Amino acid sequence: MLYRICFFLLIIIVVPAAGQQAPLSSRIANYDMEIRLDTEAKKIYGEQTLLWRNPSGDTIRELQYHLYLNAFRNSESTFMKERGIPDLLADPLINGCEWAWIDVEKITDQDGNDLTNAMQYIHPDDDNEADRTVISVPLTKPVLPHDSIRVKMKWTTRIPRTMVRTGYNRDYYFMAQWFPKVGVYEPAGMRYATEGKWNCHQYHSKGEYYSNFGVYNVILNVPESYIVGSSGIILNEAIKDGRKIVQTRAEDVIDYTWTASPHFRERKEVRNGVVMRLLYYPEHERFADRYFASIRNSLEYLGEHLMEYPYPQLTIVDPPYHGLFTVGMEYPMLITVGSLCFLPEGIKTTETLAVHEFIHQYFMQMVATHEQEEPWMDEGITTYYEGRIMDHYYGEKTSTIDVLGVTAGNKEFNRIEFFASGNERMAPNVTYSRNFKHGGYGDISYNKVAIWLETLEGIVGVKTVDEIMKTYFNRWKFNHPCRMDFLEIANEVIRKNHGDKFGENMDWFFDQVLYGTEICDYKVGRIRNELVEKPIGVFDKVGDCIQPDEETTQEDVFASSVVLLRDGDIKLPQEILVKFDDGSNVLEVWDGMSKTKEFNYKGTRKIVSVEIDPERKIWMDKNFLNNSRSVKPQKTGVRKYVIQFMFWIQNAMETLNLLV
Amino acid sequence: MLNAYIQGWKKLFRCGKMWVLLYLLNLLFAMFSVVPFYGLLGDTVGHSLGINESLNAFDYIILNDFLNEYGKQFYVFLDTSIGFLVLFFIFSIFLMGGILAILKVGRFDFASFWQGCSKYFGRLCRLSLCFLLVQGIIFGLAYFVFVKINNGFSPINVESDQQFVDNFWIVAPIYLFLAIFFFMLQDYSKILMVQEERRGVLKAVRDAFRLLIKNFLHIFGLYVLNIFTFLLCFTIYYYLNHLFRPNTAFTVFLLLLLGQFLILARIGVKLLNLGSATSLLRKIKEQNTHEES
Ligand SMILES: [Zn+2]
Repeated sequence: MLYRICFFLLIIIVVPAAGQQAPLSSRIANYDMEIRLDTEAKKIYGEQTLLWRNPSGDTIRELQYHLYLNAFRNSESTFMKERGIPDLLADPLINGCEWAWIDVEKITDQDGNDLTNAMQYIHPDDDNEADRTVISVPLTKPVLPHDSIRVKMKWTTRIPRTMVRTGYNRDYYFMAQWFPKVGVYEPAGMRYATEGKWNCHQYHSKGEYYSNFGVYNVILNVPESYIVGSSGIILNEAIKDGRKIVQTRAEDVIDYTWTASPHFRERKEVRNGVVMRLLYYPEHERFADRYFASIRNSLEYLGEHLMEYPYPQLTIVDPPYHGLFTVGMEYPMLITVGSLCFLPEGIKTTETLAVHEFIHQYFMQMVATHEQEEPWMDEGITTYYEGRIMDHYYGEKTSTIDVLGVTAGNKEFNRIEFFASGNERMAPNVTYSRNFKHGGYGDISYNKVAIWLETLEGIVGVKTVDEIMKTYFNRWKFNHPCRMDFLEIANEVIRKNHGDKFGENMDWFFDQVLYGTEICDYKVGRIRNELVEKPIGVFDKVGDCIQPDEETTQEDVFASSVVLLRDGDIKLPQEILVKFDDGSNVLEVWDGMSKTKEFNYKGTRKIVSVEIDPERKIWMDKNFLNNSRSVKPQKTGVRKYVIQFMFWIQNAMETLNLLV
Repeated sequence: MLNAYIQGWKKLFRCGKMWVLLYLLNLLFAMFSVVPFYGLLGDTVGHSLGINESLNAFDYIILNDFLNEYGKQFYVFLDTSIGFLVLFFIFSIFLMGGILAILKVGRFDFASFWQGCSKYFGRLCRLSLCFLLVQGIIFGLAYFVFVKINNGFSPINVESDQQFVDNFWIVAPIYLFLAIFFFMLQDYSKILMVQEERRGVLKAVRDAFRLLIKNFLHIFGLYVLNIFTFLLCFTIYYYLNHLFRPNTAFTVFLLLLLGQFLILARIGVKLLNLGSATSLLRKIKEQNTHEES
């Protein structure tokens, strides 16, 4: 009998433990929440318990929380001051007084101490007294080093109309940055912290994420007819008194977002054990397969290049048109995609958005960088992988546009967006997102990074860049790196693979692209083929004079030269392909440092063309057209474009004729 | 209707010289823009290998690098081209008098053509401006209605983007029908003005309107037939255009020929439309006279 009892005990202790996996993350900020959505009053009533673990050796005497939704409280919040009241919402806000807010009603600690009255609004980023997006909660009982605290909070929020990322419109609800979220306590040595301190920025119009990992147990209480999607997996769903109670759980995530609407339709697909759950409005049924394909492709590509997606589920939300302002967002285990019914299939924004937002599961969700302080580390790297995935699966020349013969690949498109923006020199990549005050945030934080990572591929090779990214990802997943960590790994891998071929380190590259604002433009200045005059005069024997018109059997000899120019201030090594009229080629190498460079050749052959970077490795070059030059004009090409232009003009003339 | 259509073809070939003349004038005006463009392209990127490398397919990079680097020059030049287009529009009004005068007699000679051009220029100018205004109003109205019923495309007020598609299929056919109606009205007004030597624009439009309403099916049917003729030409062009890639000197030359075929066809259909409409009008008038007597 005793043996049987022992065996039974062994089973109940060992079996679950064997099935349980070690947590993926350090689980510093953990929440239990009960949420009630009031669709009449457009309010949420929340009760939450935060279990927060002190990650440092410091004694913590206060907690800091984000109250993001207070950004929509009035016109004086830092968010509104930066952004201005959106035109479309001016009427509901100004005349309808539809301002939104979050009001913390009660805070108590695990010992029942009431902390509510000690709570203070603070403004770590500016002196804006009116901003209420961050609170400091002094603790009655401090949190000792590596100890934990449980803090209960009761709060109510008035939901904003969807304007930026979050809110409601009609009966569509998308709740992002919606609950009191604890800031990140950075111990000395973490990122740039020289001493332990809270990192809890106010809510700004650009940049959002920076949070610790944790477990979220969230019970959502919504009207019965509503269908719910969230960052968690649904553990249980029950109907009680005309309400739907949905119990969810998300593990090892930095945030929790949810959505609800009575009109959602649902489709599911499974790939390698990952459930892809699509929530969409009926009119977007046609896009479902395209969304699934995009996510399948991304799962496959990132699984191969970084790591298999470790979560059990991904919720893909395709908001209705009246929820357009929530389209194209990324949250843990939940992304929003989007399309428009009238877009032709060849416009691949449908896929691009899905792929882009999914990549964020890796860069900002798993590698949880600080989007407000270093936006390039998630948006830029995501844009880089967006280009790789889109071009790989949808064609290098067709992955963004493929309509009636007009085509563009994703990498091409991002490059052009950057160079056509006029914002190329607006700020370096190492700029806080809120400091892009005069434009250029997207161009620099997204596109420029993709372009310089592609250029890095060209210089050190795609394999090395893959290894950098894989090492960076795996070393920093479920953690919070800063750019120094990325640069350290880049230098380490490049040195391992290439020795000192590129110098002691790659600082010369990163200093230019990450910290600089300069432009890269190399061009072919001129090509010359000059006939070398045959020697004339008296040579071996006095009296024997060689005259200029004397015929010799020797072939003509040419002194050929090519002058290359560096028009931009970025200096990168270049390859130069020189082609000669006898069919031979010479591949020269130039360190790209000087403003000009000349190559000279002497022989019976003449240069026919010169091309800088023939394999287009230096994707940062602003103008590919001046990278090459031929001695003879490119008549066929010029004529083709002129003929096409003439055809358009003639057609325009005849179209005008319809009005005569 | 069918008879008028056939008569239109006959007139077109009888006045072949006019067809060629109109084509050459189109080409000449186009050259005002094309020659400087040729110079610009030659001076800026004429020696770039990228130009010939982009021959096989549309090249997004080449196009945009060109616009980024030489956009300022290009847009100045494009603005000038728009100026030329306005000039051509006025010149086309001038030519319309000649065309209608020739179609009236059914035989081409330069003297009658130029005489017609100058004789009817004033009244056709008034008519064209009037219909330009009308077409502008119709387009503006259609646009306004489309925006209005779609709540200004506001993501706050619009339920679904499917609504745009549904509304488009309501507004677009109505707009198209109205635009075609007024194109027909303009055609018959100008034919009346030349055929019956009328000076008053409003009176001619009023009579053309009555005529159009009374004989709507015939006139509309003929118009549709002419549109189909153009669509047929366009289909041939489209098909041939996809048969080859303009990436060699020879195929680029073929591209030139094919483009000019379509321009010639467009001018031809324009003449066919006016020629057949002239015949139909004459037929209707004859019938009316016959009935009255
Ligand atoms: Zn992004």
